[in-house]
This record gives sequence, structure tokens and C-alpha cells, in this order.
Amino acid sequence: MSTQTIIVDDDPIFVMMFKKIIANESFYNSPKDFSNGLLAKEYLKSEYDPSTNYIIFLDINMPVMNGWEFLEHICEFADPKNTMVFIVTSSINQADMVRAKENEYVIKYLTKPILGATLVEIENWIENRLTD
Amino acid sequence: MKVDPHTYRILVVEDNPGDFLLVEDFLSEHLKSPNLTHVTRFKAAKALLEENPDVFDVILLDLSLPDIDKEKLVAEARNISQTIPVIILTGYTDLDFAAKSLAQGVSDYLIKDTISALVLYKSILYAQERHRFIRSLRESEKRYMDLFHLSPAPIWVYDLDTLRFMDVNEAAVRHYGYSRDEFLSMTIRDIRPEEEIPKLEKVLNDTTEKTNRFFFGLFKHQKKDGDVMDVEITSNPINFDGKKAEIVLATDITEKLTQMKAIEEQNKRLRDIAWTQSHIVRAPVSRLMGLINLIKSGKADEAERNQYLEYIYQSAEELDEIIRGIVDESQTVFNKENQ
Repeated sequence: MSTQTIIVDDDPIFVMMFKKIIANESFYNSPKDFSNGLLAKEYLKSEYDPSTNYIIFLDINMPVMNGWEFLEHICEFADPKNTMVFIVTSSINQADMVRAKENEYVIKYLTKPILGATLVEIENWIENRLTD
Repeated sequence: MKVDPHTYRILVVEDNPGDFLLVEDFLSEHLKSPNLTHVTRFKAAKALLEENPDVFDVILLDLSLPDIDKEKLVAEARNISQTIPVIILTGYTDLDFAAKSLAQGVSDYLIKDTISALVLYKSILYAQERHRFIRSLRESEKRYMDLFHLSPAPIWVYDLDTLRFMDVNEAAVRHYGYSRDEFLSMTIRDIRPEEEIPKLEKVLNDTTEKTNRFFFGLFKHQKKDGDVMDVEITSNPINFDGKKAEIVLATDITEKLTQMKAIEEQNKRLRDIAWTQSHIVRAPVSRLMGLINLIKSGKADEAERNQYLEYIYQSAEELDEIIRGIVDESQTVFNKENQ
């Protein structure tokens, strides 16, 4: 089973940094990045394959289509079993965290900055999920 | 024969001395100590009653007195009988007139030739009991009317067919500015602004379909001076003067709504602030932390480090701009509130 990594964030500096951090991990081979939810949704919809695992790092506050709207849209075609979403946001707002917890696609709510230590945890979550 | 031990205070209005003696005789047979006051003219009786209306338990009134005709006498007796039971004694058998007197509130109508001690005693006793019962009924009626009229919240009753006000309480008069007479010449449409009428019609249609239903709703009402207010209406069907009516309690919640709106606006502003802090302010801060972390990791080469430093400066500038924006905005809010 192949794995596809997707980064959805409108902050190019964050995307650059995040790619840099995960560059050494073969886990996230050739991540794709999109600057808003709509572009990511269009891509995922056209490429969606039930036998591929999707790991999506999703920002909340973005222009055109934000992270919450993205999650609402992918319900139409994506299966939570192979579509794992990590919310990656600068928000430490309780309301956002609660909302993330209630969503069936969201594995974890992570606040920026993402440091090396966090990355190890992310990998563990994904591995647990895939071996389930 | 049983003798009633109670003291009865009896006013006898009788111009014929023979008849008075007879009455006195009869009374003493069944009453232990009748307390009799005897007058021979209606004027004298009236004067006594006006002076102190609570001094008698019952009045025995001769129908043919020299200073008043019988029609007038019955009319007067009617007023008196509001507070003291009146028994009419007469020499004539006039059943029509007797019935009319009784309808006017007189307790009993006795023919002198047929009176016995027992008949008179029973008549007095019944008059007493009936009077007590009617008084307690009146008091309870008054208590309920007081509940209606002295209620601090506006209450009214309207006719379900014509929508006319049938009764309004003082609070309604005070709150809406219409006098009681004005209210009674209006329908419930007249206390609403024009644009509320369709809503009223709709509710009325629903209510008339389902009877015996407790109704609750929010409406806009208009006072006499044109002020429009938000009111909470609770109402219930009631049978009023034999008509299908609705009793309505109106609570003015205009102020409550205004306060709630102010609180809601304030809450929204607080939520906005939390959102701004989280998403807008923290974005460059988290970026700064990430960039510094990259430099500290020691994996970056010279060119990359310089690029990161440039990003750090950009992020700091962005943060500075955001903070200025927040300060400007709070200044605007502050100025607005102090106007």
C-alpha cells in the first residue's frame, strides 16, 4: 500500500520549513503542498484511490477555503480509514481544538511550530493507525 | 319549641302598631333575645342605616308605609340588601310584585295574614344564611377581580370572535397609555404596529382551530404614544360573560432583549479577540520559533542561514504590523464607547 503526503497551508515559509524537517524521513515521500483548501480538495478528489494512504497536514486559517471547509468537502468521497488528517495550526484556541476532536478524519491537533520531537510522535501515530 | 340563643338585631319598619306587636310576639317565640328597633317611617329607617349600616342583622320592612310608595321602596330595599338582608311584610297578595321584589334582591316576601312565628323565624334564619353565603361569594369574586385588576403585569380579556377588549386591568392602562374606556372600544389589532397584523392573524387562525390550548409567543405591541415594544404573551381560553374569550398576560421584555443583545455583541467581540490572538498573532510567532529552531539544529548551511534570518526579520515585521492593527482597533472601540 502506497502513502501520499499532502501539506495544505497558505504560509510559504512554514511549508518550506516543514518540508525541510521531514526531508530526511522516507516516510513522507515527495509531499505535495497546496496554499488553500480548495486546491487540495480538487487534487485529492481527482487522484483519490481507496488503496492509497493519505497523510494530510492541514492548516485552519487559509484564504478561499479554510481547513474546516476542506474537511466538510472531503466527506463526499474520502474514507477516514485511509485519509488521516493532522491539523497543523498556530491557533491555541480551545474552540478549535474541540472542533478538531469531533471530526472523524482528524488524528491529532498540532500547534505550530512543529519541532523534531513532534515529528517522531506523528510517525508513531501513523504507524499505529496503519497497523490497526 | 326550640329557642334560638343568638341575639338578632332586627330593624322593624312598620307604621301599624298592631302589626308591630304581632311581629314582636312572633319573634319572641323562637328567638331568645331579639334586639328590636322599631321605626314607623322609611326616612327614619334610612337615616339609621346611613348612620351605621352594620348595626342590624336583618330588616323587616312593611310594604305600605306612608312616606314612600312600594315601587320606590323595593328599589331602595335593593340597595340596602347589598349589606343587610331585607324581608318584606305586606298585607296584599300580589305574587307578580313579590316575584319582582325577590328578583331585585329582597330576601323574602311574607303575607301578614299567613305569617306564623315559625314562618317568620325560618325566613329570618334563611335570610341570614343566604346573605352570609352571598357575601362570601362576593368576597371571593372580589378577590379574583383584585388578582386581575391589581396584578402588576398587564392583563386583558378579549372576545375571540370580534377581537374586542372585554376587560383590561390597571397595569395595562398604565403601560399602554390607553384609558380603560379607550381599550374597551378597541380590538387587539389596535395595539400592534401595522406590520405585525399578518403575524397576529396567523396565530389567531391557529388558536381558534385548537381550543383549550395554553399559548405562548413573542410579539411587538404599540403603545398609545407610538412606542413599539417587544412583549411576551401568555394566554388561555376563558368563558367571559358567556362569550368565547381569551385571557392574556403581556410582559414587556424590550429592555431585557436590549440587554441580551448587548451581551451577545460583547461575547462576539470576545470570540473575535480570541480568534485574532490565535490565528493572526500567533502565526508569525510560531514561524519565528520554527525558524530559530532550524538555525539552532546546525544542519543549515551559510546560504540557508541567511535566508532564515531574512524570514525571521519578515515575520517580526509582520507581527509588529498586526500588533499596531490591534491597538488601532481597540482605540476605535474605546472611543466609540466613550462617545
